[in-house]
Amino acid sequence: MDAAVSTVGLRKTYRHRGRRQVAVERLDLTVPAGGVHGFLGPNGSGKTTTIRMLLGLIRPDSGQAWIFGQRVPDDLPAVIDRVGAIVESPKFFPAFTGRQNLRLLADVIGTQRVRIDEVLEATHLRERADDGYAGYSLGMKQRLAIAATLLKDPDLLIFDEPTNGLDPAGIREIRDTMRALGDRGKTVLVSSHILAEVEQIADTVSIIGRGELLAEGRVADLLGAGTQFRVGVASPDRAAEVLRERGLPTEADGAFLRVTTDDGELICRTLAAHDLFVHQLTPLRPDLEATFLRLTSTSGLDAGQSAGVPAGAGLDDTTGGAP
Amino acid sequence: MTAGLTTTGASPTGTSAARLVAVELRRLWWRRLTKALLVLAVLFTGMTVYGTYQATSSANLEQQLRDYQQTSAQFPEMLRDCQRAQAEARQSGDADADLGCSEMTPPTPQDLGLESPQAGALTVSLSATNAALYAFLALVLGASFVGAEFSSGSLGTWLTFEPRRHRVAASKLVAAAAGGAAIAALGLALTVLGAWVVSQVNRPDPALQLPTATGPGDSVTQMLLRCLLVGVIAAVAGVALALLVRNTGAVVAIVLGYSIVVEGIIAQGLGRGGLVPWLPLKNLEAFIQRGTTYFTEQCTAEGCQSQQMTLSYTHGWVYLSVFMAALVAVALWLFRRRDVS
Repeated sequence: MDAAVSTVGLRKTYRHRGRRQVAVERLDLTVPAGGVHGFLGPNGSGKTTTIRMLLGLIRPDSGQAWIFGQRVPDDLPAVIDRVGAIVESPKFFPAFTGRQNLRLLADVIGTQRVRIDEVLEATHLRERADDGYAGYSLGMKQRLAIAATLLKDPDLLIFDEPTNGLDPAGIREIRDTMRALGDRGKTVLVSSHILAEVEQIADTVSIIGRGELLAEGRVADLLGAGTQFRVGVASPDRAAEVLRERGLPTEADGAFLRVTTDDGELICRTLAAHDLFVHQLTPLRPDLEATFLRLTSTSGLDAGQSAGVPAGAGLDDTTGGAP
Repeated sequence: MTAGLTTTGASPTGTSAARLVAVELRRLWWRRLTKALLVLAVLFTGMTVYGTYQATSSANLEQQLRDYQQTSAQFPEMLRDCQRAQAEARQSGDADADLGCSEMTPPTPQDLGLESPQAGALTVSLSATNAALYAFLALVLGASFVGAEFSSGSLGTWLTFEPRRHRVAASKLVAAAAGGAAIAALGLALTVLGAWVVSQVNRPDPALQLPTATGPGDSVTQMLLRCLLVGVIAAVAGVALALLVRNTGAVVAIVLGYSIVVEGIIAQGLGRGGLVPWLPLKNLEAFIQRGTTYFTEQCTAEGCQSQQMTLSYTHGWVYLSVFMAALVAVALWLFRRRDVS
């Protein structure tokens, strides 16, 4: 699979109170072209620093990065027209209107003026386009930032915590936008510390903690295909006995059984052979939150750095998928 | 939002340097501060022209004439007093006493500023004064043009559209230079107009028989061009300093603080005035006025004596050229290397 973004050994340190602090450490990141890629990590884990390095806003201490095969930041000008980005909060000229801000950016890249109205329409900002940016709500600012990224009709969109400060309707709108862009073949790199958000929209995901890559891959692969099943059967005690005899670890789970295996068909066949018929078979898989916490805990990250993860949340497996 | 993600019209054609300058010029014009600074240039010019109008008004000239006549009438007596005091000093034992009586000359109308106002001379005089004001306004224009981008964070957004930093910085320098030139040009145009109006309105009564002011020692056109260039230099310096310190207020504070503390107070103490020729504002003065003077302290075994020195026009413009080239080069280098938050 072609990579839209890749990094090798990317490293960045900052000087803070006379000491060097590592923001990103030997980061090897691969974002496949097409689809939505979640870039997941607690606050302060190096997500924004990585994005800034990709966009040439800050210089890495060492390592290399590429966007669509072009080395960045040196060859960024060759590929910048294919990249739209929002880094952290939206930042525009506060004294200008939304339309004026977009017009300046459109003129920088030589985009036709008609595109400004299109992106304003697409982001539902057309009616407020001639209002001053300083008077915009955070949601409107966020939408203007998205409008700005769409000016180029880029192949790669980088959204850094795009739903911060938005109301539920705004969050949903942004998610739908990102998903729609991904479905249209665009590459969307979205950084977030909100696990549920990434899980809902991302095809692939990279998880970082303390500037290091902890895991990378398809969301489904990272979560696992389902190593346990919840089984509904008429005689659970008898069924548990049969399954254990078959070598499948089984325990009671209320009126159901919880069977540890990744082969649901084997459960059904084993029970049916003993005239025990399954009326419910639900694969149980860990959600991204649990995976994230497992990865960050094994990498030595304490709970305090896992900001955005509610205490205790996601520690239990949850149901996922239908019987 | 998803429904409108069409691509019609989205066909970026790349960023040329000329386009970038055009965009920056548009942004400069859209800024409220630009218009405010233009208004201030008009107000400042109006104030200085009005001051000149008052100084050359008929009433003022008549008062100056009376002062001149009175001083002229008193001169013989002043000379006699001087000679008497000198003779007494010599009689009391100091044979070499010299109170400078032989150098006393009758006052001339020019000594008391008693001249018929002449447009060219007024223009040169006013321009030299106003150039500093225009330069300050241009400096604020340039500094805020870039400082606002740092403080709002919009520079980061800008760089995601045009990441070539030298090109970005150069476009800002060019746009600010044009803005500085516009401020200076507006002010100087009003200065020329104001000087002409004053010379016409305050044309003195021929009965007063005032001497006509001697023509300016410098070409009016050249003076105006130098003042215009000072506006450009100040705007460029504002951008360069803002690229270095990333804050408009800091740039203004640094420049004002330096002007007042370093060049205004301690410059004379630096190397007994010997370092004055290497200070930027003194060289700016030498450039505007086609040369200027400063004082150094020459010390020998018998003591120290103040000596007037000349700072040439050539020294001024060469110094300014090197200074500005170095300032811009350092600013561009740092802007290219620094992280943008």
